[in-house]
Amino acid sequence: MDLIANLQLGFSTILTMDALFYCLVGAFLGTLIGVLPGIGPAATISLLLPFTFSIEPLSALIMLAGIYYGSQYGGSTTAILLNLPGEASSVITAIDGYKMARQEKAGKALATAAIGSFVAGTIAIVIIAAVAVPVAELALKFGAPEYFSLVLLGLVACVVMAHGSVFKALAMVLLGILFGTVGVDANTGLERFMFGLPGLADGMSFVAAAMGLFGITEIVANLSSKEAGAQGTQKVGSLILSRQDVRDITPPILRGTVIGSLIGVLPGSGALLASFISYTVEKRVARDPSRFGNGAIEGVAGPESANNAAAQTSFIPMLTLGIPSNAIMAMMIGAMMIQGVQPGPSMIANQPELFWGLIASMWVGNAMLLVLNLPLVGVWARIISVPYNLLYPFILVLCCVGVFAINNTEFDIFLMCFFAVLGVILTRAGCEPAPLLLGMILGPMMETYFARTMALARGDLMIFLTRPVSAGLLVVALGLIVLACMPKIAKSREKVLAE
Amino acid sequence: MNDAMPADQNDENVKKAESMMLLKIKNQQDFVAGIIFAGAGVIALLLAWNYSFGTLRQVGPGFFPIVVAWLLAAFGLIMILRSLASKQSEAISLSLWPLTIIVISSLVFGTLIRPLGLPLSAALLVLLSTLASRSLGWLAAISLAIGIAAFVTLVFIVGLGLQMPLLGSLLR
Repeated sequence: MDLIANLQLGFSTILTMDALFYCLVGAFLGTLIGVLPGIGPAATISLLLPFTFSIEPLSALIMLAGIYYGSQYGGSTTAILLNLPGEASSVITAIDGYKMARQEKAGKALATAAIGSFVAGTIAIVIIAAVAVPVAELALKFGAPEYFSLVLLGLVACVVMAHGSVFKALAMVLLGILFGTVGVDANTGLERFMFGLPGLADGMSFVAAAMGLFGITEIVANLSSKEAGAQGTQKVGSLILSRQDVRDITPPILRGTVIGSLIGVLPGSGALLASFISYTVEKRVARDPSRFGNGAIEGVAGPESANNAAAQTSFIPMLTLGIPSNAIMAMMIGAMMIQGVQPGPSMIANQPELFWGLIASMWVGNAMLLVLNLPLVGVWARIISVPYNLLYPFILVLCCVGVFAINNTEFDIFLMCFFAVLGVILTRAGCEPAPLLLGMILGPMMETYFARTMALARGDLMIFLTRPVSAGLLVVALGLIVLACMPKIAKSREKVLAE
Repeated sequence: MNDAMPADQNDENVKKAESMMLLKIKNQQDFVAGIIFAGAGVIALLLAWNYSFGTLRQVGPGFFPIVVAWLLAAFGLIMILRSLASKQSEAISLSLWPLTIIVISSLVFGTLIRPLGLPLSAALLVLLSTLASRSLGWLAAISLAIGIAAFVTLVFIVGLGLQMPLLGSLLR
């Protein structure tokens, strides 16, 4: 029973006072920043990165896991209390969650979200533990052509899942790849697109880009729209679920978990799709579908479980293949690389304590949310009601200090400003920033694998099609593009991803 | 022949052409996005002109950037053309004030963090950035600046021990 032994190893590394402390701090800070309006998990992680610098890798990873779950839950909290989903995946939660809050049942909705997330997380962790080893073993057999096609598939999936036009998202990915080539070329030492700036030698700082594109762009967007500012606090109400409530939410939670676990593995922003499908399923199976949209507790339980399960299983491609499936995972990879940890198939074999410790910390992170966030729900509600004109200078300072701290260079702050301007203009022009960021991360990988493949095949492009795994991945990528461009599907895709 | 055309008629033609131009760029969103993408592609192509392209057998450092830049330029161009042909109007509304203030205050922070150190430059960053919303009185802005500066100094330098200047080079 490898699975149990592995999980045991993981839990024995994390169940120390230190590790639990970091997980608790991470979950607390993650929720604290995550509840701020308009700050999604990717921005939260980048804002909180500096807090993880001075600790050793395992504790830093554990804290990151805590931050990640905290920020996810923070997003659900604002969705329920204010109808302001901080991230795409809690959009669905807002539908019935906010209605429940209006009926003074916010406490129940929040408790349901936390319990659903916890159950989903627990099940999804077992799935990760079971799947990770075989996938990583398979991945070790992959050569450069397979990896190239895999990265390409990842980018295509991200494009298809992005909001707005597929065409614009593709262009954003290309722009990201182009930014990814900036710096000194590793093979030849050629300075590419450096404009004589030594700060660009190691490439554009990924964190600076993320802060500019997500953090600052968000501040500017909030300041430009008149609505931002003090929000009335909602009455939270009792957190206790009745026996009938528990009976009502159990099947949706389990169904949501299955849906989320399956979809999360797919590249792209799986969490939103997972919660959307779960919501649709719950509405279908409900005896009285008209309750949905009017505060149905199942409409919170299902999607919240689904998006948490998906958030969890989206770690699988990142941890086993080293390829992030969305912007949040890209952020996590960036954070791990700062700690000198390179996720990928060899991590499981070479650093088992780190790998299984991280898996175990996911569960602990989820458990923390249950014991920490629910009792503190009044605090979160109060933080939400802090007026925005007092809040944004603080967020801005966190952005600037964090970016400075990573490489201890002011150049990265200027770089962040560049990305902020670009981000504001491009968002206004209807372009999502997430594909750009993913292109920046995945572009260099693509280039390396492409060059290696070509050297291997003596310049024969057909190798991508003659290797069966690579060909299969490319066919899937092509299929996704074709599907997304078909008029009928394009319309329903727009509907799903619109808000 | 053109010379013989009366001046006011010529004027009218210009006006007509102008109004047609205005009519044509109805989809500002696609137009701006197209300009950025095409611009980035073209600039990259110019810069990458003498990067060695190599061959497929031995890919040079210019290969990937040049291919991507061509694609990007093409995408941008298509987007511009589409925006001209489009009948949907999607205007861009961009309020420049918050963006300008936020960017300027960040630049000031970046420039001053070494000469002045973290607490002072952070306080300055807060003070400047409050101009973006123009809803805080100066007393509130100053107390906010002092509070945030003290907080980040305590957390990052005292608490986390990050390598950041407490007192800048100018003040030592």
